[in-house]
Amino acid sequence: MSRVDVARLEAAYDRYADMLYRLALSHLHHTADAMDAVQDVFLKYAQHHVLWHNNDHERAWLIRTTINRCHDLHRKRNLRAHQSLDDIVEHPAPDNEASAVLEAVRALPENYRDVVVLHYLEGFQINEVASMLSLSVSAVKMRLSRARDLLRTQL
Amino acid sequence: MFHPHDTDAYRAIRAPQELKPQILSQASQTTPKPQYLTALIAVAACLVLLIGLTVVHSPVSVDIDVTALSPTALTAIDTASARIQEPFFTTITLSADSTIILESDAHGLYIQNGDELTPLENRAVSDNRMTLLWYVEQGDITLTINKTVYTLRADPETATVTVIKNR
Repeated sequence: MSRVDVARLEAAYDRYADMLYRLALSHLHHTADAMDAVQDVFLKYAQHHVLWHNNDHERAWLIRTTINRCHDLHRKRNLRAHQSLDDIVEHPAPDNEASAVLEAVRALPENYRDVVVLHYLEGFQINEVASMLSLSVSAVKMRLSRARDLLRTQL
Repeated sequence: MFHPHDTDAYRAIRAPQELKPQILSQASQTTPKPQYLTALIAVAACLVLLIGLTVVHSPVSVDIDVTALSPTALTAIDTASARIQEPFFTTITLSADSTIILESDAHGLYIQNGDELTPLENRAVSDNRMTLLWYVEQGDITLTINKTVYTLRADPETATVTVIKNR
């Protein structure tokens, strides 16, 4: 890789790595797998030659690619016979109330969890989430509404 | 339902510090695909398409060439399928002897011109050859090309895309 490519990769890492790691963790519940997913995504990013239309386009690609990579890893993980105790995710210890909310979010079905994570926890606008997930705005609103209903029953 | 301390607790989760040097180290060892290889694959795809058109005398004026799995190029008259190369996009090349009038209200559809991507707006585009990049999400995209309707069906689960010409 050229120096320019390394700088581009590093800048993207600094901007998005934490968010992508959290997203991967919400899918995989597994620190080692989440790290693998983020690593794979950035390596793919380093080899990607398309010029991004804008930052939103770049971010949407990273998020979509992370979700797809999580699906792949999830399938592979389902083939594993067992899971090592060392690999089980260790989240920081927030206060109990926040912890209960986050656990409830993690337990949501994937379709609802992604929109909740991106909108409520990462702070993206509904139209941004729609663009990232290739959904219509109304579909995102519907998923958020159903996710809230599910969360209410659990909290 | 969500309070600032929920988002604070969520955002307190950070990527492990050792991840960045790992990625930079791995990336420095990878060799990007040479540009000439892409050009070579494109030329090979065109040749296969031309041969296909010569052999198959079809009344259909527009062909959809799904070239998602390079260097294999599948010439589609009625249907075609190929694996999705990228997790995010698949590339569909359209070619015809005459002008293509293309319409779609599909979200996430781009026309590629060199390295530039231009979103395909809702209305017609005229060209006799164009490459579309499509945000792949499970579900169908409908394209109307010279009044013929095509359904583009992606299945990320099996990483395949199928083009169906609607009668």
